[in-house]
Amino acid sequence: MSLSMEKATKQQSQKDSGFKEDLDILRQASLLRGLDHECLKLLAMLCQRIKYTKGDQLMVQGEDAEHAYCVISGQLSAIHTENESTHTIRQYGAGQFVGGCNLLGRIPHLFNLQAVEETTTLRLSREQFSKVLKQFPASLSRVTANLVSELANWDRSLLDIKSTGKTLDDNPLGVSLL
Amino acid sequence: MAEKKEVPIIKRSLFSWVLNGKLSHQLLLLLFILAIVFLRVLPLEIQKRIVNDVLGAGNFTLLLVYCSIYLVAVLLTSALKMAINWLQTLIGQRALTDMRRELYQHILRLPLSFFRKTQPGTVVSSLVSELATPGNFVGMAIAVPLSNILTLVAFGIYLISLNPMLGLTTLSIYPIVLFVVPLVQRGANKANKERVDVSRKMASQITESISGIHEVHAQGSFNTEETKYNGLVERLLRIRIVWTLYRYAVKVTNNLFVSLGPVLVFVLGGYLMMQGELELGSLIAFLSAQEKLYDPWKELIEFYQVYQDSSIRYKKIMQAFKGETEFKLEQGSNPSTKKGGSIEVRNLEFATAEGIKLLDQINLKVESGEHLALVGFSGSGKSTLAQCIGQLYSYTNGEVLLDGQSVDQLSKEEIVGTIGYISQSPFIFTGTINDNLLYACKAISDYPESSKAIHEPSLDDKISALQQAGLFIDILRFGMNTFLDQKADPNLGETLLRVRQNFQENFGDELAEYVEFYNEKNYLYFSSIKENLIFGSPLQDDFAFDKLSKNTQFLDFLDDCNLRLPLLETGGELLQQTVDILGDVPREDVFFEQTPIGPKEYDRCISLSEKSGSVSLDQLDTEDQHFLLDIALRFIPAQHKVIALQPVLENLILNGRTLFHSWCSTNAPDAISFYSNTRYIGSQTILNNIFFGSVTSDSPKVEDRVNQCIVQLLIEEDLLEQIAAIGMDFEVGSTGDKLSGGQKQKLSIARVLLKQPKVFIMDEATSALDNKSQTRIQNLMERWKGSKTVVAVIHRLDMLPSFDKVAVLKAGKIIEYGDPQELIAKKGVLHELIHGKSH
Repeated sequence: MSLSMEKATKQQSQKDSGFKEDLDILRQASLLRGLDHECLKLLAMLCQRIKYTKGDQLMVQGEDAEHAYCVISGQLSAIHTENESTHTIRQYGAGQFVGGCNLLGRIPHLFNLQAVEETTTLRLSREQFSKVLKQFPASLSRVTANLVSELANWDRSLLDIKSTGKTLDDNPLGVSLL
Repeated sequence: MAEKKEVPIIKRSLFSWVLNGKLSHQLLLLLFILAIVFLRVLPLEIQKRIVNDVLGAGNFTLLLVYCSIYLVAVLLTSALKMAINWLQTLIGQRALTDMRRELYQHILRLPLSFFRKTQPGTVVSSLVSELATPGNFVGMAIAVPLSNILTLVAFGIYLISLNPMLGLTTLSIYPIVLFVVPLVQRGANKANKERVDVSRKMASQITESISGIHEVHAQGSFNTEETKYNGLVERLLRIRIVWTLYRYAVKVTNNLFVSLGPVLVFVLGGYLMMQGELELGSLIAFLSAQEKLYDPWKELIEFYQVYQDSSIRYKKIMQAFKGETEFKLEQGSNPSTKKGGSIEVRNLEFATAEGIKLLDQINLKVESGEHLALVGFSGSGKSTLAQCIGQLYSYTNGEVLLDGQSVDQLSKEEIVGTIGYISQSPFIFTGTINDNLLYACKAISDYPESSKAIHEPSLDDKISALQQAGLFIDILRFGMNTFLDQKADPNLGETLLRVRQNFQENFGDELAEYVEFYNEKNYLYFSSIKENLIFGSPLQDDFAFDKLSKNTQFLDFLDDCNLRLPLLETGGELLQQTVDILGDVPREDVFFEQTPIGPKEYDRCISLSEKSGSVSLDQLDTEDQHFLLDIALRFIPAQHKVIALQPVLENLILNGRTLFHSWCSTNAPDAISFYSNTRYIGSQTILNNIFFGSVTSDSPKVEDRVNQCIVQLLIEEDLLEQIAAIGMDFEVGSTGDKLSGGQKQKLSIARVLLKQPKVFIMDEATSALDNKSQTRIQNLMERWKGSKTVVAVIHRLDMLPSFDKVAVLKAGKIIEYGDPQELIAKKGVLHELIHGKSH
């Protein structure tokens, strides 16, 4: 239980505003692909940059997590704990989007999400997301379509692995973190 | 307010509003109308007498008398007209207010099922705009027809009395008008209806083309879309012409017939005069009356049109809100038996209007003080069951008994006095924490009988409820983030300085990494530009932070150190960026967190951004320049991400800080108290004062540590209650925007805890809480065993062991019911639910 802390990053020495960078990052997030530009602008305005240090927990197994994260730098691990044994099921690095499902509904999480090293993320809450989507109702169908396509990709990649004759191991896990 | 409510508002006729509660006004109006009718006829008689008696006789004195009477009559008529209008407005506006009030009262009490089908927009437009026309009509309902009909009758009688034959002939025109005008009006109505239809078609055509604009561009099918649209535009053009023609035709027909009057008067009157049967004065009176008949007649026809419009709108509104309150509201003076809190459900069935049974054959029993868990897959009906027990929906068959009495028969007053209902998506109302905390208690105290028993909760009660719900620390934090009113409590500042000392001794090193200390040499990224520049707390009113941008002395200083223009540019950039990003968002706090511009000033920003596009910054007027400067001065780089703080400006400000210090000592020596570790800073929050800096992270972990340290420090100085009381005045933003999901849920739990109900119905009431907070609520529930009854829909099955009973629902039926441990051991559906085999 070390006292690891998160830090909001300062934007003091950037020439570009944090907003523009955030907008670029969000535009590439899997779940937000193809969203209306005005809608993305609002999301970029509301999301926050948070820096986590090693060991910080972003999601807790069994708890509802109300945020999704875009990893800007560093690495996050999804870890499952059962009967005091833990095992890592997936890693997320720069450019990856984790927890999109959290934006769409309330679920007690099946995994812990933890910073493996110092990690900077862009954090978006369910509340912010739904406020923005209320302004752009048509975007919800786009998000749903993205989710459906991500789910199909998930299965496709598993089929690819299977077709090579390899075992799947833990690979199937983590779809609820999409 | 509405003590006599025999007839519900939706069944009341439009005319019922005319006399209701306005009798005295209407009687006064009647009096004025009678007077004005008399005063309208009087000039005709005077006119006749002047011609017949005075002009011939050459009596100048009599002429003056008659003229004076004429003048007084005209003046009095105007005064009375004014008074009538005033009364008419008063009656109309009162009726509108009554309608709005009573309709809203009715709407709020309609069954929940009604709101599933009704858009909030319908309610808003009905109450705000649609009711205005019927309200206006009520104001006119007596005054306009009565005064005009009476005027017509009075003129008629007067004319007949002058000469019956000529009088009757003149008036014979009006029945003809009465027959012809409605015929023409019918044509206008038909065209009007057609106009509405075609306008709608046009709207959907436009919507279709614009929604499919991608395809239109891709196919280059501009002409096709234009042709569809143009066809409708032309049709609309034709209809509008016909409609307008008919409307004019009504006027022209009316004018035509009325204008025929003088011809009749000349022909018949002239003939009668030549025969010596009519005097010249009477002929003139006839001609004047003819002209004066026109106005009341026109007003009557207009009134007819307003009546048509109002009654259609009124009927439509009342139809939209038909329905009745499902439950009795007040318990009346017969106090019901004391509630012990036992619940029994017998053969309960809840079916939708289409006959789909959401609950079927539900039977269960919870003794007073027992705890029952409802579990099942989503859609199994567990929430619906909880809502039926809590009287949110009325069930279709069977019964729910609360201490032996049917919930259907109990009044809302008894239900809210006994049951505390906590929903899974609690609603927080705009206002302070305190307003929301008292929400449930205040509701009970508004019922006549309950108000006698209940008393306002004390600060201790509130703190205890907040602690139990796990919100107390958050409230302390809100308190710490406010500014201290030093005048109200001069000693508190001193005490807080001691807290600062203790903080630095005990936590300074540990938390140093997360605090941006007020160091004179560094730029403070978590503070605004004005805080960076001034680096102190204003002591004089004209140096107060919100007045700086208008303080000429300060503006001169900005000019001296070349800061005015860069700041204006920064303000302009902030404004432009914000408007560009936010567009036309609702003016809600959540959208404005990362810009120095607040929701209330956003409209001004939009119009200024349009203006500043065409003129340069220094051409803007002084007020606008001050506004832009103010925005720039409020800019906090670490919080407001819309633009970046440019290094050049940063250096200018740091430099400006040093210059301001020396400028102050010569120009305004007592204006500022500069930051010092031994002084309380009035312009900073309590928390920043204790830390002598700003916390640089809002992450939960840092916040936890900061909170622990705050609590310890506040306990040492016995300040907990005082700061909590300040924190309860925290404004939660529009619908609780400024609170997190967890905080909202805790607040909704606390407000129910505060009213200390006998029965708790918790519909996934802890789903947004973290494990720690959840455990806290679980422990609290454990303490209620035996004294408070609990029915809880639970989403986390690890909570099950603390319940006495569990009911497992599937497709609206209870499929397992009993002791949780026994059911799990049976390895049935509950076992499957827990171990997830059924997924």
